[in-house]
Amino acid sequence: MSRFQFPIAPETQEESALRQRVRHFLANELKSGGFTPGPDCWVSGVAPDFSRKLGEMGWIGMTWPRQYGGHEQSALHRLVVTEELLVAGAPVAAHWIADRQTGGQLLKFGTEEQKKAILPKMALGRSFSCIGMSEPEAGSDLAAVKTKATRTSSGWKLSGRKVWSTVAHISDYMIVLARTSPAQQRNRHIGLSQFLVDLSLPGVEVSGIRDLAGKTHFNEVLFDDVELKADALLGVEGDGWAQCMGELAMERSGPERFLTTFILLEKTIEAMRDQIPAKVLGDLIARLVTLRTMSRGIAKRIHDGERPDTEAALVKQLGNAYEKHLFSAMRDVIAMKSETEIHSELLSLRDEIQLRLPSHTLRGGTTEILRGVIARQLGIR
Amino acid sequence: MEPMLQETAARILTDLRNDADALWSTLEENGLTRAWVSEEDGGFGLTPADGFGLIRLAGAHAAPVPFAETLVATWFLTEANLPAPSGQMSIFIDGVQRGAPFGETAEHVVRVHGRSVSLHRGRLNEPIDSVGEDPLSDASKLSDDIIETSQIGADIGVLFGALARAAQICGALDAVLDLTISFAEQREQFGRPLTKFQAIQHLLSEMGAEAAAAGAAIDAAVASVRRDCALDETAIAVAKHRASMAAGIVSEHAHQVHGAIGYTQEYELGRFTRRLWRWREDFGGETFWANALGRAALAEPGPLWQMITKDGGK
Repeated sequence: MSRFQFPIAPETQEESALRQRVRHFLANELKSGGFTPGPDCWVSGVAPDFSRKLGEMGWIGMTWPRQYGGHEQSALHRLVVTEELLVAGAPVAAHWIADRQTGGQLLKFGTEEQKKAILPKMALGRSFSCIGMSEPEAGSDLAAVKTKATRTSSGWKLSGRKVWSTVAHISDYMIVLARTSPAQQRNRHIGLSQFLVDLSLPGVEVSGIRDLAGKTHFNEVLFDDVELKADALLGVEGDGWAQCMGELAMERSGPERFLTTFILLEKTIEAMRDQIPAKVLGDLIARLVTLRTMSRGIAKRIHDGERPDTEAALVKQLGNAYEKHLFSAMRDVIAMKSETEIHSELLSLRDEIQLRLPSHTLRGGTTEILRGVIARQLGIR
Repeated sequence: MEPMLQETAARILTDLRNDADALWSTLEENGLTRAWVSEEDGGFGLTPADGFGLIRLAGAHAAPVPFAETLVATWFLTEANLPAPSGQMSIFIDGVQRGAPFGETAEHVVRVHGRSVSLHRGRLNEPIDSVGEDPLSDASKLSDDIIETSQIGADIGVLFGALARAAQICGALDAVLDLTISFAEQREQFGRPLTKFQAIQHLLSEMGAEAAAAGAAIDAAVASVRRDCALDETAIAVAKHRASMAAGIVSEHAHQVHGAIGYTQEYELGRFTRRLWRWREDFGGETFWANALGRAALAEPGPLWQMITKDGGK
């Protein structure tokens, strides 16, 4: 009857206990000055030391097999941990992509040798990675990538330019989407391949790009005839597009799509409890509870081996809209008092979020692209 | 829901949609109106979730009979250990509703006041105007002719009513989405079907997103319902809020995509949107429930996140 499926997966006692452990850990870290909470922490909170601590706690690579340093827990356990980290504003950007995306890709497409060498380091928060999809001429139109990999006697030669690669500057690896045979007019998705690229190789140049807020977390990465070994090809030559898209459910359905501004709501309540209209707060609660239900349903389906890509697009679209709504609602509440009566920390937080907000509806698929994904599922595209 | 039951109900609701009398008697003959009554008392003894599945289905077909109301009435009666009569029933939550839906044809009205439940003889003949498509009667004219009265363990009237309306809304949202998609596929302007216009695709995808969110919220709320038990107020408040919010957005977009034809009485869109506009108000719309949720949150000291994740989250 319904076109979209979000199974109901109530939190188990084991998950609740895990939640309390993470909360306890974060409270201690906060007390001892281990981190300073910030918004959008999965992108802007780069702190390798903190990531190592999380690795030691067993909270990176939670779903990966034990033989590769993972902990063989469910996607819902991982979701509990990521929620708590985001709500606390903990600096988790360094390992986020490795944990969310690269690990899964390596497990599916990596060689045994790569999995043994790389995954345990990633799970300990000692090796990081980034995404190499967008290019100067290939944003929403990802199939337009021009980065090229050509066969050599010993492997591959990679040349091209990737942009907006978050945490590339501290990463050991990037998974690069490159063209391995010319684009065909009928189907441009054919002829793309994924490569696991060691960023320490000669010919790789990483340079930071300052964002609107003045922070440098994303980068431009140049590949100038970089020599790759044969095993750098990840998965099957020509299947790069499908392999990339296979990770979209993970990329788009997580709580980083709706909890990165939650800190503003919490801090506004703390400072201005008497000013917040109940209706404004309740509206935010209802929408958040619904997003959590959806996100948990997707985690369950991923755990069961399904690929709920469209449902994930729905969570990202609704989550992004929710975050913008939350910001605007809290901005209204804060405006009930004069700026001189409000703690400067709250004003800074508000302003920092404003500077980050435009990126939410761009990264990981723009709103317009997501609407297209949903429209395709509705059978009208 | 059991596929056979679902199929039977869907077929009846589809085939007899334009004949309220035949629709009602066929639903009744097939025992569907007593789905929530125990088997000893001549019902199906369905689980809460299956009963709400039927209510959602009734919404998806804009059933012009008090199918949902009767099911809800039997729930209240069985919770109060009262026998459920046969025939159409209406519900009246005292202090909440002005109108009793289908009061003109309902043989009985179940009135809930706090924890007290009473079964009144029906037929309320004073109609009141409403945005909705189904008849509404002035509930203040309810007769004192009480057949039986009893108590339930908890004050569930508004919550249960709200959840039923949310379920109907969800069904209707899916139906409106289907209807609007097939209209947009067939209707051509500027030499191509409406679905080929990106602006239209975006409206339809937003409708899909709203229907999906409402569906998830109501599934979570329905999963929390137990017999002989207080209801999960947060889950139901969230469900009715999200469903009512989606009702507004989906109706608005559906009319926009349909153009003038959707604004006629003859075309079937209005059968759904008029009901959606009524149901979203019944037992509290999104603002009512947002207020309730917000007040509850503000009354609790400590971080909001702790409240939201308490008991595993609602």
